[in-house]
Amino acid sequence: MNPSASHQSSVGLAIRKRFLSSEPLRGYSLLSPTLLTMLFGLAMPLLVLFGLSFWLQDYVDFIKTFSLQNYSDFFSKPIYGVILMKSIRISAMVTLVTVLLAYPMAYFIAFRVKQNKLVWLILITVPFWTSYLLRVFAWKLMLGYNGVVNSGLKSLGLISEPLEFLLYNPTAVAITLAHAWAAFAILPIYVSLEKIDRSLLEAARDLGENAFMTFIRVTLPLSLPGVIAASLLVFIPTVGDYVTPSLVGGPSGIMIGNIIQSMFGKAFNWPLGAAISVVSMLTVTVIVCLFLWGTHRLRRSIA
Amino acid sequence: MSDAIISFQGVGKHFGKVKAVDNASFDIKRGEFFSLLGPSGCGKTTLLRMVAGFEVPDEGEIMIDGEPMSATPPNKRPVNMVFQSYAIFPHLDVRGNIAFGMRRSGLSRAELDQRIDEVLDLIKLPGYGSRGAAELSGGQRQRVALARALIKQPKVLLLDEPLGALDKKLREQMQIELRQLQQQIGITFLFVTHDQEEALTLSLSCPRVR
Amino acid sequence: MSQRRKRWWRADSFVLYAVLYLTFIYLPVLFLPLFSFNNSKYIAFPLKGFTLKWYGQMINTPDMLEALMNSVKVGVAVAILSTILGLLAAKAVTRYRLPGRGPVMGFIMVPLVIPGIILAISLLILITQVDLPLSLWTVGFSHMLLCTPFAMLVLISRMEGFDKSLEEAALDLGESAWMTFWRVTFPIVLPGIVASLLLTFTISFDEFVLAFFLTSTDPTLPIYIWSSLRFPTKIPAVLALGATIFVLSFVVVSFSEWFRRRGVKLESSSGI
Repeated sequence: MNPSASHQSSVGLAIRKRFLSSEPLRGYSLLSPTLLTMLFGLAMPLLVLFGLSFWLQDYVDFIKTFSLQNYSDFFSKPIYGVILMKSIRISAMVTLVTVLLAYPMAYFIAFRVKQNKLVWLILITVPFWTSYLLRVFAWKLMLGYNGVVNSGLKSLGLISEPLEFLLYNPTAVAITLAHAWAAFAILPIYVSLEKIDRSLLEAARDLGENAFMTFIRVTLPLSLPGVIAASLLVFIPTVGDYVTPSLVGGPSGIMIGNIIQSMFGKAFNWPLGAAISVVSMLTVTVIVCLFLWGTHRLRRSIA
Repeated sequence: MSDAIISFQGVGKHFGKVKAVDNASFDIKRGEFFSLLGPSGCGKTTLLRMVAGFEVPDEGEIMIDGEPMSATPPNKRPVNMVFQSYAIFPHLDVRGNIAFGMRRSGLSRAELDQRIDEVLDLIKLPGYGSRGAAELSGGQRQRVALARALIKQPKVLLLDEPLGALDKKLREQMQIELRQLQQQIGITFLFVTHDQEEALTLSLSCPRVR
Repeated sequence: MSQRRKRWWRADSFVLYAVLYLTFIYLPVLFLPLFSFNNSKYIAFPLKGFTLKWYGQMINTPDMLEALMNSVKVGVAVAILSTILGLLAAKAVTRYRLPGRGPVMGFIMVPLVIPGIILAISLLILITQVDLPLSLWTVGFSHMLLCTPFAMLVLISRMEGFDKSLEEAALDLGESAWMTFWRVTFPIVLPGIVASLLLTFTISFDEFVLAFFLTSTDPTLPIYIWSSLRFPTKIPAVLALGATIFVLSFVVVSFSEWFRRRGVKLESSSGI
């Protein structure tokens, strides 16, 4: 039946044919260096982290027998849970503020700026070329004892003594993070707004909706993917941040990242640190899933 | 069978659950202007792409000049294609586009230049060699795509709806020119179109696909 | 016309908002270069007068310059490697029908949405468990993991923007897959590659958390900055370096933007 049967007798030819005819095979062989790097550098370490969370620390050595001690520690000592919840509260606040502030700016660039949109986008990213650490430090400078705000208020004669409550508290952490992650919120929202077909907006107006309702019923739902991406891009990394809380947070601004860091540093209890990381990661994942489910429902109900 | 340049033998291809080509068996004779006619989405482009080697049949075999092709990658096949979008390389000028496939032809620089001038004459674009891809009209791009394939002297020239993007008047003119060109150089043309009139103008043998 | 007149305040309130927003993101950052010219080793008001001595101290701080060089070395290696990995992945997902494309892409994107500290300690545990020494190599590897998804995103958008049949045409004209890449894909994707190199270099150059956990004795620049933030007298020279790097990146971005526009021009004029 098959006229080429005799030509396929060579194994090499058969392999070549198989390779050429299977697009997934060719695609995955091209993808394999990246995929293997990620499996080795991402999946494996995360598994090892998970495994370590069931060991125990004994001075410099690990006790390598399965134990749930770390997890029972986490849930029996309220401090860890309290700090995790506080971190999530701060990050959620930061995310809300960052996205709310970013949306009008992204909207402005997408719909109001007619020429040189790119100049505006670059203008927004320029401050972020400064080192992250120095940007955080800049807020210490803004809010500090002899900082910009205090000096400004003093020279205006509004206060006689510098205000001390500006720095070293959760609010200072939230302001600093909202500033540090601004560009991450604007760019995805801008992209999703820019993608909206302008004739849809005209259609909504044509069908009798006013400008505000057009925004609520068309623009907002269509830009929701950008808002969701922005929220995740800000929320997830900030939960684990420990640079900002250690520089501007003070004792009351400590976040879960500081606890994890100290477990791998001064406190030197790697397995407990691993368990705290695992619980934090799972908590964040659950919150993200709830958030995605909620926004999905919201989108349905608007449309 | 020796006068069959392409022979489809029970060729089948599916994408996922969609059958694009089902048990196609027919021959194309040497020197023929062969049109494949059918509505869009009926699998004729898939058939053409299987001849070019961009898709590999799930069943059956395609023979070109008596050789089975299923283990031969596109770059080793004795056929060339004029793409629907023409696929003119934007970073090269007309001469660069036409010379693209001649890197290992063994021709000297001067010989190659002469060959390029010949095909530029053939497609009636003499003196256009240094034009950038951007400076060409739709019809001119189509001619350059034709020249780029013809200079390789393929056993079969594959044309994937090459006139689709042109306006009616230009299309009619190009139909006549294509027919003349094919008779002049004697290469087998395998032409895919959804336009019945076009297929009839161009070709004597024209089976309908489904 | 009447509609336009009725709405003038709306356009204006947007402009006002934009100006306020820019003030918010610029103001704190602008104080940094200001203090690099301030003639006092304390970073506090009032200002004490103009000086360039911190820039002099900057060139005479070998530790800082060494950290800078370490960061540049790691950044260049990371930019090249992650752009290569990103390019391979971008080509695979844009040019082939891959079963399981979604989950695989999601997996490669994980470093974008995982807190840095978790990735850092996971790698730290793995590396110490297999008894590898911590060094700039381990920092570089971790940065490569972080940067590859960024490179991939940039390059996917570039790959999606050009006609797949250009590559097919090159194959059809007798070029091998490798030469097709060099003669067609590479020149057309080049602006995307430049953007990816710049972005990944920048990310690696500024990355602190991974470097903090994964280096031993060789500090990168962010680590040097971190340690100097505890010693107020070191800060003015760090600010001087920060200002210098800022000006340099401005030059580089302007150049790359010029380069990109050239690419766009080449493209729009060719109708692709």
